[in-house]
Amino acid sequence: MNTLALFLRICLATCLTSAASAATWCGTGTASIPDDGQSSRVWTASVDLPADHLVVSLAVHLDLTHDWVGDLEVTLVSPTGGMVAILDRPGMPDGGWIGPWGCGGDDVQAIFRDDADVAAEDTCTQFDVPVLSGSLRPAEPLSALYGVSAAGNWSVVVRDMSPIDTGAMISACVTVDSSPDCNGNGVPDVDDIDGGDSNDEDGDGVPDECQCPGDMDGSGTVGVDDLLIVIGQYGGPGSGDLDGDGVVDADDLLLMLAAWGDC
Amino acid sequence: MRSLACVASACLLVGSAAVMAGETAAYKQIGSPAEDVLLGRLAAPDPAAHGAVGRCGQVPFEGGGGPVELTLSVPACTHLALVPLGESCIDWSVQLTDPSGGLVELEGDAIRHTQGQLKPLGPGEANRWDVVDPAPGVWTVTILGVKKGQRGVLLARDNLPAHLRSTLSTYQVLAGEPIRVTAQFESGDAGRQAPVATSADMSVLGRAEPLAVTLSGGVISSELRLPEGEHVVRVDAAATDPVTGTAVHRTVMHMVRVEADPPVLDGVVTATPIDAHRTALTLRCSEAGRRDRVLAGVEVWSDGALRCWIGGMSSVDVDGIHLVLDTRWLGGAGDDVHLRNIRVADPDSAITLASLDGAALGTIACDAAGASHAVLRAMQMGGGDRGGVPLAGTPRAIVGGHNLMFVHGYCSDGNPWPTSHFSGDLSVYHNPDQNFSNDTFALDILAFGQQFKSFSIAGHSQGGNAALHLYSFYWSGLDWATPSPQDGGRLIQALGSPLRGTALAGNIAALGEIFGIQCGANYDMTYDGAALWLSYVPTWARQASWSWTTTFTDDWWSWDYCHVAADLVLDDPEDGVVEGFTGDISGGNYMGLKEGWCHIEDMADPPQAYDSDRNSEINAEAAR
Repeated sequence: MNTLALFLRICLATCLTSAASAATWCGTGTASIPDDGQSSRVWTASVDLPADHLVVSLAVHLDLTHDWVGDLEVTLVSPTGGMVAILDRPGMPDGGWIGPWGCGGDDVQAIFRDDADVAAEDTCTQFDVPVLSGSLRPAEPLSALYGVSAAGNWSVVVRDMSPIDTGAMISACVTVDSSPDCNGNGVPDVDDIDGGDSNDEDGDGVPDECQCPGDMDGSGTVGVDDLLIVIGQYGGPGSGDLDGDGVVDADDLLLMLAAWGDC
Repeated sequence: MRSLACVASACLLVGSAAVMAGETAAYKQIGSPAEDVLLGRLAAPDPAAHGAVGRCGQVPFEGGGGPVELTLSVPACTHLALVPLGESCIDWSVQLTDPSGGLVELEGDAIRHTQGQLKPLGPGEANRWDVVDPAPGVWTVTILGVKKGQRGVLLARDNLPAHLRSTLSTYQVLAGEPIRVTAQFESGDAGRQAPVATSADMSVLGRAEPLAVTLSGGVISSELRLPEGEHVVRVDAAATDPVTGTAVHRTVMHMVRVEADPPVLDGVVTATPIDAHRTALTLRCSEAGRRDRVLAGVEVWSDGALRCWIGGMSSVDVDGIHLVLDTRWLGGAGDDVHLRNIRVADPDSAITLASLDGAALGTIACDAAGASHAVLRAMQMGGGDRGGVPLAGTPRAIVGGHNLMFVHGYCSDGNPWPTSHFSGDLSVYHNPDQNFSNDTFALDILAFGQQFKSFSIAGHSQGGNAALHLYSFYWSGLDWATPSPQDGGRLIQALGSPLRGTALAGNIAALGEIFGIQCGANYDMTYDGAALWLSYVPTWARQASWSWTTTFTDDWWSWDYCHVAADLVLDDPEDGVVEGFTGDISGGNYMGLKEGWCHIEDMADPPQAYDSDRNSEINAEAAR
């Protein structure tokens, strides 16, 4: 492993941040982009999100130098192997004023997101450096990767498809917003609930089919120990308020009895 | 044909047009500030200021099987040059009889006999006799060796500072419509009165009957109607030199281009917003004519002030002629917008097809311009998304690269530049023996250049004109070359380019009758054609061009020239094809005139493209 690759591997680990439903990873460290049209510069990182989370939103930030951005293909690859073109030789193939070789401007410092007003493929100018900057729409919609598992290895792949002009990657960051899919139906839980496909009796945002009401101690079984906890809270608020009406009462006891036994 | 050779530090690609199917040359939507109009760069040229100039007498003849005897009026002067031209004229000899009737000795101090190549006027060589201190009066020139039926012309030039200028009444020269050709003598010396014409003949070459001519106050004039095409009007005049009282003879060959089937403007202009800063303008036509594109130019006024000039290559369809206005030129003054001095021209000849004094637009939403390069460039060149012309050519191999491209000139037999003087990636445009308009030439360069990401051009002769045309009117690899002109890069380096035309153009057309077609007439290189063409070339394009001219080594003890015959037609200093002043255009970067170099090889001095000092500079300064 060369020094650069080692650095990237360390950086990818340390640069990774995670939250309940979002994670951003970055590949950083200047690395030349092969100029042979065949091989590529790849950043890969394992995103630390729960295995049952699905992608609901993506943004890609690219920072690279290149003397002719029309040479570049940049692809985002999801953990399941799905691919989306972020840049597809901007300005090509319908060159118009730009000419047959695509956008000849220098450098990219831009955030690619589906809701951007300007398409990266249509924003070439002659004098602005970086020629691709600000918030841009990618060559293909990132939404093509929505709904797939967010956890696992994500990659940004950069290829220089035309000889002579060269460049280097400085950083690539991918922000993954994810949402749990506890019932494994390929639809985020929140969409299941909003769409009426799942009930959420207690309004906690988790479909009821993913929950075991009355298992107060998390043992996987509704039993006497759980009953004692609920009785101890009787007449007041508490985790024994299984129907969410604000008070632990007989209705909650009936729900517990209905769920008696293994979850 | 294409080949790639890497030599020393340079990679060199030689070839002709190389285009993938379906590619187009996108039009630039030119915008230029009011100054360009006020300085006259984008104003309609005055026909009376250009025209054609005759500096010698031209006496046509046809062999009758024996000696050809011609008479010449020679004024009081110190030098007379004689060149008889015709097929195999190197084999002819002459006898000269002076006004006293004496046969002049052709060997000795008073006469010098030289020979030289005729290229590019014709094949082979020609003889020339320079007579010192010729006696004023009528000379007889007897030409020996002319075959029966063979046609020729005797060029005779004295050094009296006087020439005959022929001009047109209008540049809107349309088939069947009347134009007036006017000619009169002018002095080449500000302190000396011009000769006054005493008699004149006017004819159109190829037509048997002479034109009806009026001569009044020294002004020769004739009204004529011509069919579509290129014609040469020959004006032959005698005059009296008011200083010496001796007779002067001059002939001018005036090439006239006539266009047909023009669009007809009906005076209505419509405006349709394209985006935040651009408005599409349509000059409505009652008849669209046969062209699908024209060269157009209009002044844009608002709130009583001239704001900008817009134009360039423009699409024509049933709706009219389409232009684009970047409203940032209006500087926030969007009321009472109207167009003035509307011109529509043929894309090849720049001959005016239609014109209007003005048309009203009303109020247009606009804002002030930003100051960035990108904004200014967008205002100057537009978005390149409003039409283009298909490029002809053959499939190419992908080459890429950033080159200095060498472009030869009109009717050239190949690249004149010694590529060993240059380094880095080089390419050579190669399409010999062609007679292209500037527009066709530019599109052919673009077709070749499509295989490169970017390039600048070292253009010789008309190659420089074509490069300037390409940069002005079409998007190409020139627009991606770095450093950009704003950063000091040279996009166009033109050597011996007739940017303001050359007197030779009309004469080449006339000599075609003697030597055969050769490469044919080229209107764009006439004084008229060049003036019309330049009147659509904005300053930002001129600023991207650097040009040089050269001339022969001028020794005080001899009569020097670059070309044995062209010297009689051209104004000194000249390089055998173009005159020195022609490289100096308003707004361009004229690098001056250098002595000791001629236009091409086989002239009296070395070919100008072989100047290693200049080539070193071109190589170092070229954008790529």
